[in-house]
Amino acid sequence: MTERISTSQFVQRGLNQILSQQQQIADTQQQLASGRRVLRPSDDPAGATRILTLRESVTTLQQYNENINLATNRLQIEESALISAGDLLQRARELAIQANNATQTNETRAGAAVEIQGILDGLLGAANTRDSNNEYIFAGFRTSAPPFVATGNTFNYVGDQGVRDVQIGASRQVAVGDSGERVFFDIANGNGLFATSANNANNGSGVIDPGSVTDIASYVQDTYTLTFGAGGTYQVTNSSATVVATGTHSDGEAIGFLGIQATISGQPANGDTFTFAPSTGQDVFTTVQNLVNVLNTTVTDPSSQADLNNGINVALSNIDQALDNIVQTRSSVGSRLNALEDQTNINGIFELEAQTSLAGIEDIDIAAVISDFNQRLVSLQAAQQAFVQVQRLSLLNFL
Amino acid sequence: MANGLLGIGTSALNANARALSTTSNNIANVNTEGYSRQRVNFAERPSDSVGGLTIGNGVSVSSVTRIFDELTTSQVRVNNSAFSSFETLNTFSSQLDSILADANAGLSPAISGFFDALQEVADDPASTATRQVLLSEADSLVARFDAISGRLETLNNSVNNDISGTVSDINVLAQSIAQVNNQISNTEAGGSGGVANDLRDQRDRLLLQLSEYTQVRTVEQSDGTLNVFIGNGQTLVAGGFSQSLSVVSNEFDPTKLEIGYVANGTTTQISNLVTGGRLGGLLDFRETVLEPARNTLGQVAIGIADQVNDQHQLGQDLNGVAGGVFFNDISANSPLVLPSTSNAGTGVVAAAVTDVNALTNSDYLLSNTGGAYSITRLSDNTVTNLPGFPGAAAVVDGLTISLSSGTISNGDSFLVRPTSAASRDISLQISDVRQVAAAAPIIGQAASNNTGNASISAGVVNAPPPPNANLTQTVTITFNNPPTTFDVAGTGTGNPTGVAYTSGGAITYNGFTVEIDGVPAAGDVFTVSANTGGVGDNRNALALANLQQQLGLNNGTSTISNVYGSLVADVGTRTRESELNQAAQETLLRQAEANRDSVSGVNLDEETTNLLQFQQAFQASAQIISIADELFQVLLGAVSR
Repeated sequence: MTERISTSQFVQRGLNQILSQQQQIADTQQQLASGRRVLRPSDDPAGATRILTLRESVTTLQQYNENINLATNRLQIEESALISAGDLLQRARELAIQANNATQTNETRAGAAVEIQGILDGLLGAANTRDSNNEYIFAGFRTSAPPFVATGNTFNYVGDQGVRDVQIGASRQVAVGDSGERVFFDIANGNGLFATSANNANNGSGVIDPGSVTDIASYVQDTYTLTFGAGGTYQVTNSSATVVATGTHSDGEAIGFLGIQATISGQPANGDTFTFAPSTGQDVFTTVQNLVNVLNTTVTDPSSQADLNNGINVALSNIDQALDNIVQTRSSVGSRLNALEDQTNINGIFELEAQTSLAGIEDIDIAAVISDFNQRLVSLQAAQQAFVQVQRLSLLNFL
Repeated sequence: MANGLLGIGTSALNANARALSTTSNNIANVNTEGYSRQRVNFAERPSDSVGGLTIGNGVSVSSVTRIFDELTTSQVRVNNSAFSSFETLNTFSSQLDSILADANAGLSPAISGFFDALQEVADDPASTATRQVLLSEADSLVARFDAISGRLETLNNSVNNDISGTVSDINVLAQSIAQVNNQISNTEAGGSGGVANDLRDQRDRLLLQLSEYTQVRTVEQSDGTLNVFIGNGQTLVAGGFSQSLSVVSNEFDPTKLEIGYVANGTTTQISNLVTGGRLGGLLDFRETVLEPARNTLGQVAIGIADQVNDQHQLGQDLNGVAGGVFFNDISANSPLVLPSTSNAGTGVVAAAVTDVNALTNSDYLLSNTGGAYSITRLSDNTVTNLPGFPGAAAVVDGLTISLSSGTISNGDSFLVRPTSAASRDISLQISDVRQVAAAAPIIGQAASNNTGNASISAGVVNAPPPPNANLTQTVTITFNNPPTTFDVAGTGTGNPTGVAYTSGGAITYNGFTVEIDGVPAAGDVFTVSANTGGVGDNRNALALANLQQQLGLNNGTSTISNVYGSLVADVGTRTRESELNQAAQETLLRQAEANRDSVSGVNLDEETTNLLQFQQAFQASAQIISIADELFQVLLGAVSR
């Protein structure tokens, strides 16, 4: 028996075909209008999860770049504060070297002292620099109050040693500041290992330089006292009064013991003493303040000239240490700025990758969808025409 | 003879007239839903035997039959049930589907926004502006949880309403079918062998409607009535009688309606037996989509609240006070323990999430069988025996369950729902921007006159909260000579001496951990002390922001976003599946309908042919009468002459 088909079924079937074509056209149209392939998670459940993950990556990467902008801004402020502090110290150093010259008078030195006093104020200003959010950048975590406080001639650091890190990549943090204690305050004096000094009560004209290390392995950390006897003889004793070296001094010749040495120029008198003490932390402001005080010393005789020169030498070596410290901090800031730029590029590449994958999953292939759309339009027309044609066929038409 | 001829002619006229009206009726009902075409069956009338000859006596209509095939018709019902079930599932799932991943309504952008705002606070912890942004973002995260859980609630209410509506529809249909059964048996019991065609059509229509609501099985009885069964054999209609379904509350959860079957005055819950149809689709949606979605969403809420709260309480706010809870403590307060209504004991059981990492999105059933307690994870029916319970609290999947009061009787059971209410319950606990704990309460520092080059880290506070009572006591670490060991002094440390030093090794006292790196000199001193005035400290904000990447859920396999992603994927997959199944079932349903219609449906061309055929037969029959008349006239003429 041939398969029967009922009339209503015949109509329904034609109608269903048209409806299903229309539904597909509506879907395709929605894709074209939105430009997105996945309109709801059910369109591609696995893809939808990937989309969520990728979107989160994109916003996180954008957030990292915002963090980087902020970090860059802060580090640039720190850098310029360090540059101005460095320039100020450099000027103080020049003035100190000039003042060390024998042609200078008490009056010219007093003039220099006035200028250096101004430098000290500038230095304090630089150390108390604030960023765009009014936070003191050298205060560690205590960013709401000026970290460096001068009371008379004493200087205090009221910040802490905290260093703020900022997230700049998924597993990368960068410090967006340096503790003021490390930059300006806790600077090893002397040459970094030990500090030389002359006794102010010395009667001779001996001037000691900052000294240097010849053999670090032989050095034993202790405070050594160099005492001159008659005729330029000297002996070096350690803190337990044990003699560790003896000799006879000649002007400008280095005196060495236990792997360190220093040069004493001029003629030390019998009983003059010089000290080699282990370096301790000293702040840059005290260093500059000491320089001011030394420059205000009135020179009347070779002994007080030697005191002046010794004082300036100590100040110079301490300024050099401070400058060194600032240069080191600057280079660390510079390398952090480079790291930030580097990370911006890396984040940019990651973001581009994420965006590309996102587009691959989420966006339609316009050409394919348009050709699909046209094909469906043709199918719908065909279904409609076929329906009309078939509906005309009825036996009744021929009776 | 003429009598015979007239008789034959009349019978033929009558029979063909019947056939014509039946055909006309078929044509008239061409568009009637559920109409089965009818056919007139002709039969020869008994013949006369005259002188050994058999003379035919005309025709009679033996029956008018309904062209019908039980198999194809029941196939339509089966497919209709399946189609309707998937259609319902798909209608409901796709509502959820479009909410979850929506860029504006979905949770994902809110989670990102919250963590991005934490990064902003980490960038600039002293600024109240960034803190304000964080609180707004946290607020909108909470609002998003609330909105989605509200939608889930609405969907649950719709499911309940639809269950009630469908059950009363089923009851009405069952009564109608029973009535029609009665009418059919009355009509057909006349002994005339007549079949109640229209009533049977009507009954099939009712059955088809019923199959849209739930899957049914039918058995026809000898008296023409039909018995209807649902579930796994519950009688809905037996002859002229119908049973009714009812709506009952879930034994644990009154907000969940179940299907009850009323027989002999007792109601049995048969939700788990009901399959197919709208009812099946609704129950399926609730069990496989709605409740898992609500639970997973709750897992995300508890995950985020618990992790953020834990970290936040390790921090210090802008006022220098230890951080409090950021969100409310939903891990402790939102797990539900619902006693069965049939419990005999007075036991009140409490549950709290104590390890969010081990938490699942499943519900659990706690039961007491003869004094032996066990808990069943309902997602995979894993049973864990609880030997010490209720004397000691039981811990299962990061959930601590304890008896708060009363006693549990033998046979009592409790439904434990750890996460289902969490997305509704979550709220923000901080309103003052200064209360955001962006800083850490301690700071490690080196003494300024240290001569070695070792440095100390700022330090971290050890989880879990609350922090050690001595956390902010000043602790001094002094290196000995030689500096390979150090002494520790400070309240709470026990003042140990000669602790071996490893560069970069963790040093933990009083609930903090610091690291000392490098080469210290003898006599170097490091201190860990309260972070006073540290408004620029962002350590805790950074730690909070990094929770976004932390694999701290599902036993260290998922981030917060991953769990939400799996929810989106699950609902998406379910919706897609139901969509595909619906389409497949639609094709099967159309095929079954085509099969049924190819047997029972009316074809106008066919009926037109029949019309012509019967019309010709009718005309020829009329001719027989006319010829009989002529013959009679001839006979009369001959006689009258």
